[in-house]
Amino acid sequence: MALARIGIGSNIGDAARSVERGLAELRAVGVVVARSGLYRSKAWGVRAQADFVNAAALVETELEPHALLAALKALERRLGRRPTYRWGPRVIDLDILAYDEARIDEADLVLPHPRLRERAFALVPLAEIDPAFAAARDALGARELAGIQRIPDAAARTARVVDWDETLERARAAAEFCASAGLVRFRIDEDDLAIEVRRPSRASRQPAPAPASEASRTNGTPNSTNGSTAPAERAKVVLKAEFVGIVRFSRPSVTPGAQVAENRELAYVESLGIRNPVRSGGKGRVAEVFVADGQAVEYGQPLFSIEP
Amino acid sequence: MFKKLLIANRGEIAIRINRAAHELGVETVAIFSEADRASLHVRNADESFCVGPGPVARSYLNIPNIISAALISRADAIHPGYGFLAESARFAEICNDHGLTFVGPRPETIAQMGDKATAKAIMAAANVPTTPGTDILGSLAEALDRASDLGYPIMLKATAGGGGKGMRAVRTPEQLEAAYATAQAEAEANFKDGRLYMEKLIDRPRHLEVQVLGDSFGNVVHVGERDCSVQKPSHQKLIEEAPAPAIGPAVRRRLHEVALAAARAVRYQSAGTLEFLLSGDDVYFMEMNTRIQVEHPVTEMIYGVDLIREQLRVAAGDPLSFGQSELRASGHAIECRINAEDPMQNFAPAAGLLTDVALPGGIGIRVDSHAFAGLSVPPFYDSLLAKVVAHAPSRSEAIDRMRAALRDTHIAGVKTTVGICAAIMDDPPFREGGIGIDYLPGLVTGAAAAR
Repeated sequence: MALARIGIGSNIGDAARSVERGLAELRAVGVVVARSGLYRSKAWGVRAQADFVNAAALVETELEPHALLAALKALERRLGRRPTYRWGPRVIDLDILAYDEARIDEADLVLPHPRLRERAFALVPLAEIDPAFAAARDALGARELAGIQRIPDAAARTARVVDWDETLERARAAAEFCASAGLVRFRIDEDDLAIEVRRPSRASRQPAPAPASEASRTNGTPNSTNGSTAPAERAKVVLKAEFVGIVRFSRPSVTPGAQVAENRELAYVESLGIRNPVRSGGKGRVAEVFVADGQAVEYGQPLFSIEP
Repeated sequence: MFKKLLIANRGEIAIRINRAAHELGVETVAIFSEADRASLHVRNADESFCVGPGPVARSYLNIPNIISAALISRADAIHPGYGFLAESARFAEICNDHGLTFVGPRPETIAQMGDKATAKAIMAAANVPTTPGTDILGSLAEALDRASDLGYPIMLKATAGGGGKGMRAVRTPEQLEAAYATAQAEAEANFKDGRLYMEKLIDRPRHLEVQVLGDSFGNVVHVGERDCSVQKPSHQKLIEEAPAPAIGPAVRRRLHEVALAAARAVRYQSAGTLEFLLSGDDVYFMEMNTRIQVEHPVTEMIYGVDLIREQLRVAAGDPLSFGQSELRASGHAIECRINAEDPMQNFAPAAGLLTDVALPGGIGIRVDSHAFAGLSVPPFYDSLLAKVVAHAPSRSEAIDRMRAALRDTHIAGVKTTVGICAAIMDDPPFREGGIGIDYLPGLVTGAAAAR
């Protein structure tokens, strides 16, 4: 495991957001143990470009230096960098500034980064998170430091432009995930944006087809698959667990014979810290209690049966 | 070692993992869908949880219910098998977040190797030869330009594709012009990522792969190569063998060295496979599979090692139980996949009740299977019913042993690949060795024409 110092820069479009995205995506190359704030600076080298936004991160990585470089270049491409002229505008720029104490001098990779000590825009963010570089930063002159401003965290947030198409697309994806994973609620939180989708818990309200058809067979009524549509039938409705978890009875807890109101919460299935209620559906009498309070249940396990 | 292992899979591989765990004295927890309630993998485990209905998205891919089952049963590790969640970096991370050990490589390794462009870049940096190709293409004009540099024929690929999906061969600039927009739209529709790149098309290659193992102490070994060139038109493998026939010692050594370099570049932990194309004596890296593979038994037979046991050891923080110098191959092993599918209908999967199942045995025969008479094969999953493996001192003896074993294999109720595997054992080009991946598609086209 090595500690790599990585510099991130952008000067196209919403540069602050690109840098944040780059920081988030660094997890593809290792574990991000620290990250700096965002710094704005005048474009370096060629004039007449938009301002740069820079940041630095410390990453614990298993990758060898060349493999890390290759992975960062692949990440740049994935984040939309197109090859341009040297020092030209770029969506995202990822550089290895240093890698442990390694000294490498090869055509494609020089470490520590050879111009790091001249480049205030790279050195200032790095010194914020790595004290080993504080002395080098303090050695910079006032002129070099003048063009560099830390973007206040709040400003970085308000600078964000919400892309509604993208947000709706993500909400749709979240809703699909929520349904496919059988979750009732799913929330994504990031900075000033939160996406939350909820699915009405069908949990437990549908009459179970199997007992219903069983009942219809014994009653000799053909083609009746839904107990609730044929009031003459006293088909029991079996409430089943939709989640793997621990069933906890709601108070006051019900026993066989108890009358329950419509939509009464009989219990909940606790799964990964989320309470998933089990409701009675229509009003009726509790016929059977199949589980004990605090017991582990699997998907589809019968919990209660209710006679309407 | 772990106390209790949850096996997040079904079928023969769940049974295989369950067996390895029990040998190590580890208790097991099975998960199953409502369609698999009567399955053998459920009966063999110490505990089991139904995690959802038949469709995979709601059961074998239902991460919340799987994690919940692991926590309730107090399992300390999860083995994902192959397919399903085996190559999901997100699932591996979620396991770790809940204090469960994911039996496999680190999440970032899965992510790196899962992104084709990143994988290729890392391999190229480690001096692993890759197929000559391009970065992500910006436009059709750029594609045409780069294609003339590479030289036709070329393969147009979706960066998010894999497993034979999202690829098309292009032999002329006109074909490229016609294919570009369609391929982009298809990739967008199938993978929600329309980005394309190109690679030089290696004509009539063989598919060779090298098994590697790594532990958390930095030890990395290779466990030899496999030849998996008998592939269905969909690029899925049907027959695999080890060692690869008809390659010289120099090529074999090169494959092993390149695979070790690749595994070391990512400090690989767990069992993994590097897939290569072989054309003449040239070797090209294709992809790395960061999981145990279906065909791992042929390697186990000739090396006498248990790859699942090593995966469990490494995940539990133990070192590999052998070094490179202790690994010696002996004899030849062949595996035939017995699938519930119809070879004459382009290997269309079949579902139904198995009315009769008799599987072979005897000297040098290994069968990994979850099939039994009375099993209803559900329509939701992979069609694999059994893996028949023959091990013998030489390749020709292994082929003869396999042919005899397939004659003893009786499965009724669904169409299977027993017949076509037996026919291949008798086919002179296969017996000679060294066939390319175009072999099986040619064979089934020929058989269809003959009918």
